[in-house]
Amino acid sequence: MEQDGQLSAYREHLLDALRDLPERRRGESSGSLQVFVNQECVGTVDCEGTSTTLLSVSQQQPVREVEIRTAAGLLVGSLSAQEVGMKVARFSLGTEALEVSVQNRSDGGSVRVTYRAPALLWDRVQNMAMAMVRGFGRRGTRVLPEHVSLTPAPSLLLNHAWPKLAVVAQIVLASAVVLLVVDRLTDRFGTESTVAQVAPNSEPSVIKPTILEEALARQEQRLLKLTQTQEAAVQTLKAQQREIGRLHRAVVERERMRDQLQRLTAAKEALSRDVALLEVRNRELEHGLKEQAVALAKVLLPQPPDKPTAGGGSEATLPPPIQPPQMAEVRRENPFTFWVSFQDGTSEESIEHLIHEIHGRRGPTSAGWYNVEVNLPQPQTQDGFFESLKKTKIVKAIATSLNTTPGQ
Amino acid sequence: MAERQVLSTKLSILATSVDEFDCLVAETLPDLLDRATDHLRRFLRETGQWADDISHEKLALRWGYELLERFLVWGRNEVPCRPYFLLDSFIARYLSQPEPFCYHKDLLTPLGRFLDGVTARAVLSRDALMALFYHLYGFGQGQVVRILDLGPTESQRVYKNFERWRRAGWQRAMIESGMTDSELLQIEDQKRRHSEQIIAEADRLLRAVQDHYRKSEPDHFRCLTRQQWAHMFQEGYGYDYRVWHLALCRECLVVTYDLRQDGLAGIPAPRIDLQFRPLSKGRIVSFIMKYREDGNGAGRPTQRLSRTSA
Repeated sequence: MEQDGQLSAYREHLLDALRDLPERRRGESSGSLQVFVNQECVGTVDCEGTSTTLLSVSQQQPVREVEIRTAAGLLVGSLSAQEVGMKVARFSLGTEALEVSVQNRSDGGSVRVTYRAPALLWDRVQNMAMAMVRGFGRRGTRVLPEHVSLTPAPSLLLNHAWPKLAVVAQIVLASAVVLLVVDRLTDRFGTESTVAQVAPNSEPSVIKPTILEEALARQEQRLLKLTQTQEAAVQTLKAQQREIGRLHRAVVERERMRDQLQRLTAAKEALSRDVALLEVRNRELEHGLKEQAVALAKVLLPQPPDKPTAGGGSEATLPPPIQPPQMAEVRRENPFTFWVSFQDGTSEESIEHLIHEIHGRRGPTSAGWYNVEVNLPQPQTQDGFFESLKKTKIVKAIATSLNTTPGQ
Repeated sequence: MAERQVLSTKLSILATSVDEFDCLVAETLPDLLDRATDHLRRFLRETGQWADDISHEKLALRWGYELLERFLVWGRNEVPCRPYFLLDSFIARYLSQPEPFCYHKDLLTPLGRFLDGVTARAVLSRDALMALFYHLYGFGQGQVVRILDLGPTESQRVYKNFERWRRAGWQRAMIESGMTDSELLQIEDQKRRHSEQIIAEADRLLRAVQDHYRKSEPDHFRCLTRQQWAHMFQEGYGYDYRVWHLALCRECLVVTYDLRQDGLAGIPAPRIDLQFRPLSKGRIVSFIMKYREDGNGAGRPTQRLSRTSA
């Protein structure tokens, strides 16, 4: 019997302790919270600061359960995880919030505990404004994966938010009007019924105007309040519209800058192409210059003496001139003749200059065609020579014979 | 027949929101506790750990209470649910783990329940963890700080809210482990009369209790070798390690004391010196006086017992 009483008392104590739990949770300061994963304490989260703190734990075993306890051991949050996948829970500790996310994979699990300090009043106002601009898009408590961005492009935000804001504004205005009408009708009927009830009792002629005046005064007051509320709502809407206008201008400005950037990029690409072409041309010119140097060398090459000069003992003893490699190539030159015509209006001086440049020898002229003989060094082909010559501005056409159609 | 209908109605109660869940469990708390206790009773019977006595009934109640406490918080994330069925699955899942509870027949005595109660609490509460040094070895805050070689920051951190343990934590741990005033008086009396006997008994039980609850530590807080402990103290790292492990491992505490005994003048070697009640404010002075009056108290510095020390 005594044992039953003892057991019953113990049970009551335990029940009282369970009933006290919500009160204890409210009363106990969070301080530093302990994080238990699979009933092992894996660390603590400091909840005393004003900033967000984070505890992240990874392990090779899957996470079965996560418990959050105060330093005194009071359980404030508990979460069971699925075998594979992600689970998120949020626990509120008064004005503070704790977010626990568990990610289980085949090769282990990880836990992330985030403490969010209570937001300041200004922060809350900002968050509300942001929530409105975001088109009330972020709802619920689910934590998105890290790779999911929560900040879409401003233009997208505006496109989504503007119609919703307009709808909200319309609803607010319509509600205000409906409330006003309902209030007036209610007051009117209420007044009439009050008057109807009061009238039979006594002194109808005195009471009726008094009641009517009071009702009218009340109605005026309500109307005044409603007007003030409506004005406040309108002011808020105007402020929001101004803000949205500012954002819209910013977006337009940003798009304009983006267009400019695109144009600049296109110009840069065109410039790069031009530079590449110029480089090719430069290489060709260098090649032509080399050829001209070879031709020049041939011209300047001293003729070998047919017979030794008499009395030139000293000259006869001179060693033969050293021939540079270019000179050796000159000996393998390939002389050939071709016809060339020039653009209309090309001066004789320019023509002479060109022929001089290519070390050509001018021949007869026929119907605007000039016969030119040149010596091509061995590596250069006739076609290559023609191609480089065609690129000269003053050259109109080239032909190997006047009987064939000149190549352009 | 009527009872069966009532049971069926209870079982089918559906909580569709967190508020509904809170409301439902608050209304049916005694039923839920009885249901959890029944599950524990059946588990103990099926595992051959049951006897029809008040100690086992208390044990089933205590474990039922612990699981229900967890369920009340955990279940809020599982709505919509039927709380009764959810409790059944929660308990079944918990009991399917290896060695879910520390069962030892000798832990059902008042001494065993005391040791089990404070150690089980120490796994969950930092206040209780620090209090273990006092309840098991009689070490005060200043002595613990020196033995663990804690710096001012670490010391302040672990003892910051220690007053809470003295004020409410200890009381709650005793209530939850089923200790009554008469049982506390009984073991205090035993300690006075048969000190050696109770120390030997506590030494034996403490091994079983600490072995079980130390598993609740993270894997990286396991026992270290003498060299590893020496390195940790010399290099000045692992403060959490020291606090967590040494509170729950008497062997390692003795090793670290031996390592550092030259710098621990005035602090006795860790030996079982059970303190069943927390050090009350009034007793702090007598505690200091006692150590001053001890024969070897001349070389023992006065403990720096703060207002919040146990």
